[in-house]
Amino acid sequence: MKQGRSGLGYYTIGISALFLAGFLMLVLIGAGAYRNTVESQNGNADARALVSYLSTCVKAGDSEGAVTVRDSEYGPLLEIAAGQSGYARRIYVHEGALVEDFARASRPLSPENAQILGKTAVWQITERENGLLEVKTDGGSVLIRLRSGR
Amino acid sequence: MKKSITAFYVETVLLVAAFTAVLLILSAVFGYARAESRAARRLNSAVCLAENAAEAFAAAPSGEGLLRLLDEGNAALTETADGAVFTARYGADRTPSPTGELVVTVRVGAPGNESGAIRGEIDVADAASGETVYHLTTAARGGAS
Repeated sequence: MKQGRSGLGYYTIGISALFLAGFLMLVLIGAGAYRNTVESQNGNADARALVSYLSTCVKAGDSEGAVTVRDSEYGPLLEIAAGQSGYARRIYVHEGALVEDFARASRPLSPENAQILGKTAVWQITERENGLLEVKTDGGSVLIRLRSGR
Repeated sequence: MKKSITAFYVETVLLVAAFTAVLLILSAVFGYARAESRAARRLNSAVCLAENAAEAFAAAPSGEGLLRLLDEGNAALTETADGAVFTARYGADRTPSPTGELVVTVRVGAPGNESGAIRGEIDVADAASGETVYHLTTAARGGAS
């Protein structure tokens, strides 16, 4: 009788261990799936957020001669003029972040007053043929065709 | 006593069976989530590639123009009865790669009679299965290339 009880005890412990192992496995698989999903979501957002914003800004301000690319003390500068007002949206990189300010085009850049758009180690703008701009950031490369017929 | 031990065994067997079923269902759900996440990443890459191809097409709406703008060593241009077909292959991270998993195909149509716009059909497909991941139709005025 004592032996039978001992056998039952081992059986109960075995079942409990099985349940525990199962729950642990489930938590590990679940955590892995959640991590993958979040990484993928962040990767997708990183890939599209900056380039989509840039593309939208350029297209919104795309009138003849309004979009210009030039070198500045902070590297390549994308300048989008706000009509004939003399003001412009200026986008450039400062301390590893893409920043944007809206100021008089003639005024010097002041990154301390600029708004941070996102982190990027890469910031290259190449003017290709027929008004095609190639903008490279950490999120990859995006092509933007200027419709203003410059 | 014997009766209650038998009932206990039956109960634990049922419990283990139910637990195993829950484990299998949740594993399948997690597996599905993983596959969906992978598909979302691939779709995201496909949308970006299609948008880039559409912008390049707007700048140079011809097979030669696309080859000039998008060729990074892995693109090809074939002439068919319906017009030029441009193809290029990219990796999942959207970098040009001859063994990449995404194939971008741009079919350049003939200029429209009334508008003079040239139609471009852009397909981004899985290289292994040939399944279309994203499709985009665009049009651009000719003469720019």
